[in-house]
Amino acid sequence: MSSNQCVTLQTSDDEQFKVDRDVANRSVLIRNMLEDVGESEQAIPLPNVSANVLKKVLEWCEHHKKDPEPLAEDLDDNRRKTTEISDWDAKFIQVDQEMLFEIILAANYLDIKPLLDVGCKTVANMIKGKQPEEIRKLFNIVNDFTPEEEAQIKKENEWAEDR
Amino acid sequence: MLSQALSQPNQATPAPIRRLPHELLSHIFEFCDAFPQRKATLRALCLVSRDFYKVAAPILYGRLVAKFGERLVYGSWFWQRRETTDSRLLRTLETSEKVAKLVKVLEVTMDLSERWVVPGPYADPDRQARLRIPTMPKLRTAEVTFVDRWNHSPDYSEGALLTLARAAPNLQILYLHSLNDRHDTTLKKIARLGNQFWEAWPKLEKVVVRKWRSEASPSHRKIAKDAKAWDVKIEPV
Repeated sequence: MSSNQCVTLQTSDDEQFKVDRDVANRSVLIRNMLEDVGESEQAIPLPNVSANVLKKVLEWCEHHKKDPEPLAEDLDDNRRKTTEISDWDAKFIQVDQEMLFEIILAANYLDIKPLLDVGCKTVANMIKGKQPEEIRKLFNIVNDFTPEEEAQIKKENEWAEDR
Repeated sequence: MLSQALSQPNQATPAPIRRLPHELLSHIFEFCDAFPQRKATLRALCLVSRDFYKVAAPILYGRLVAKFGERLVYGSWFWQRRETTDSRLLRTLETSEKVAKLVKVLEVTMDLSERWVVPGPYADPDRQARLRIPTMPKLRTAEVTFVDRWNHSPDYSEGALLTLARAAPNLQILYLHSLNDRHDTTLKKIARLGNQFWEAWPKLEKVVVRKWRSEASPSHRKIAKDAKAWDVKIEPV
């Protein structure tokens, strides 16, 4: 493999990853940067992604490097109609919450929409069927409503209790 | 790129989810919007915290399925009247301007046999007060279905549409294609109303109707002509 088929990525904690261009191209951000700078040996800095997260993201990109580009319409409404995740992606995303949200943030920053969807669908599936207190416990969230506010919102959304 | 990260409460260990900006939280909640139990899930999310409420409420109310009309909402006979999902929703939209402003898309069923009042000198204020539709100033798209509770009762569908127009002054797209057997009757009434119908929807851009059965029908020709004059596109499907 010639060196110009490879791209070097530099993480926020100064680690460098040399990857195939078609793997790096899963990221729209990196693809656009490569198009802008042209042929270059210089490492592409990714100041918002740490090494352990990039390693995980590149694992996903490697597996999906031959996937067709999502169609424009798939990027909007159609992808939201289902929360199904492929078996490989479901296994890939079996990580702790810390890593799960880091992957979501990295996928958003690197503009890898299919990976962003995998992360967001996973969180949506975790929420499914849970009561507010269970969601707070799941994500370690503090209830910051005053009792009056909480009562008001309960009343306001009473209609939505019916399934 | 990432704006407005969620505010951190005083906690020893901040929750990882709180690092997500509102737009990513919204992206997650939009997947919850696809669940069969979307209402219950989004309602639960609204009650988690202030930040979650800010993100979940616009999704819960952004696309509503509702019924309007006294009998349809509360039941036909006053001694049978009880709280229903629709009466609770109606009350929320009427009492909370903030929530009513979140409604963007509405699938609405209305009872055409209710004496929906066409505005004019014969309007009965008492009836208008009972046959109310809450104001939804940001409503952009409405899909209307009519039901006839009493079979072959008088058809006041034009009054229902004009009442909806008052409640949705910024409506841009009106779907009338699912009116089924009342489709032609309603179109005839719209044709008869002429300018009174079209001036009620100042922001209307498109009306979606079932494919014309006959180009030669006088009511269809009249609607096409009036719509053109009011710069509204008629889209047959």
